[in-house]
Amino acid sequence: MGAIDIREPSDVSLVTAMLEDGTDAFGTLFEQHADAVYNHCFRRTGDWSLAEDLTSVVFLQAWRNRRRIQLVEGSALPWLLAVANNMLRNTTRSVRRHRRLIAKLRPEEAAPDFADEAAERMDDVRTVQRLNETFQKLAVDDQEVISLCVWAGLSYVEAAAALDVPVGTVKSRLARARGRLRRLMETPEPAVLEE
Amino acid sequence: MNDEMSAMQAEPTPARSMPVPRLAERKRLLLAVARPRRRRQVVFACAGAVTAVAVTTGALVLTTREPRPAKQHDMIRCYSIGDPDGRAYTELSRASLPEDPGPAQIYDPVPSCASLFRQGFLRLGRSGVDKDTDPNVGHPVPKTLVACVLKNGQIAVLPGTECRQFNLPALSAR
Repeated sequence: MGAIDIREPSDVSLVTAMLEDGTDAFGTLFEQHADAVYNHCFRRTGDWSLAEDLTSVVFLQAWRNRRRIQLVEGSALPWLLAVANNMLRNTTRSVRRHRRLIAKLRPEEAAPDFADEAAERMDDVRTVQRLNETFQKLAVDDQEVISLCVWAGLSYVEAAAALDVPVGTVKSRLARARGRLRRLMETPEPAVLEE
Repeated sequence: MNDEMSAMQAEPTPARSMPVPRLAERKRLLLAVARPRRRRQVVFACAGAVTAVAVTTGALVLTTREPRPAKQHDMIRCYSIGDPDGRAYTELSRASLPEDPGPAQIYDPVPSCASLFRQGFLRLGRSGVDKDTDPNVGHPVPKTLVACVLKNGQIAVLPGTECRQFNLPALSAR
């Protein structure tokens, strides 16, 4: 039979199939990247249900804009996270704008059943909420570069594509963001004056 | 503070998966919104003063799909579960010789996929490629594999007896 090459369906083949006809390929793309988008949205919002809703909207945007999906080093994930970032810049407005879609894409069962993970997920919520008290004092550019490069683990090239900036800018922005964050964490909380 | 700083240097929370039933339901709803709606063609038949709408109860008209050629033969899908809408497949291509122009062509899709089962890369009923393979051991091969053509023109080899059961056309002979 000779040398063979077997692999999971690549994003290149999935996006190509999506252009031709493929809602099937779209479903597979969703399965492959839903969790990455879901975790990205959760870490920025601290809300698992909202993260689910935003994930669905990101993928619907991907379907509707499938001719514009840009693959970076063969991956659609940077593009998907860029769409997520656009929504996360103003989550409240995004939810309001997409409220009808969100309602259509939300399962009838109101809240997800996390079963035995419930306690860990509650811990995650507390962690992110505590973190966000500091994190949200950063400029949006700084938040995005940290969440993409550090939390989502994108390479500089992938993050550059997601942020639509040169690779050098990603590196300098990341260094700057980390420095700012360090300074923010070192700044003592203002003392409460007692009468 | 140290905890927070370290969280800024790595994933602040462990990566978690959307619960499986939830993911499946979200996918179903997404596909329902994404799939183009088929326009229903309503035919009114008027004959004189009588309007007749004939419905043959219990009669199911099966459209026999004609075998179809594939759009390409350089990458095919081998499914380990008989569900062309699922993701329990792997894509198979063959390395071409340096002197051959273009990708190698696969004109024997069923034996090619059967070979993946025989070598243990694929296991019937299980998704994903099995890493624990042993080419010296003859692993089980599904009794029947059938080569069909997906909507995108790609060849799909599925465990089953005929493509009609998957609502797909069969791959036409070369």
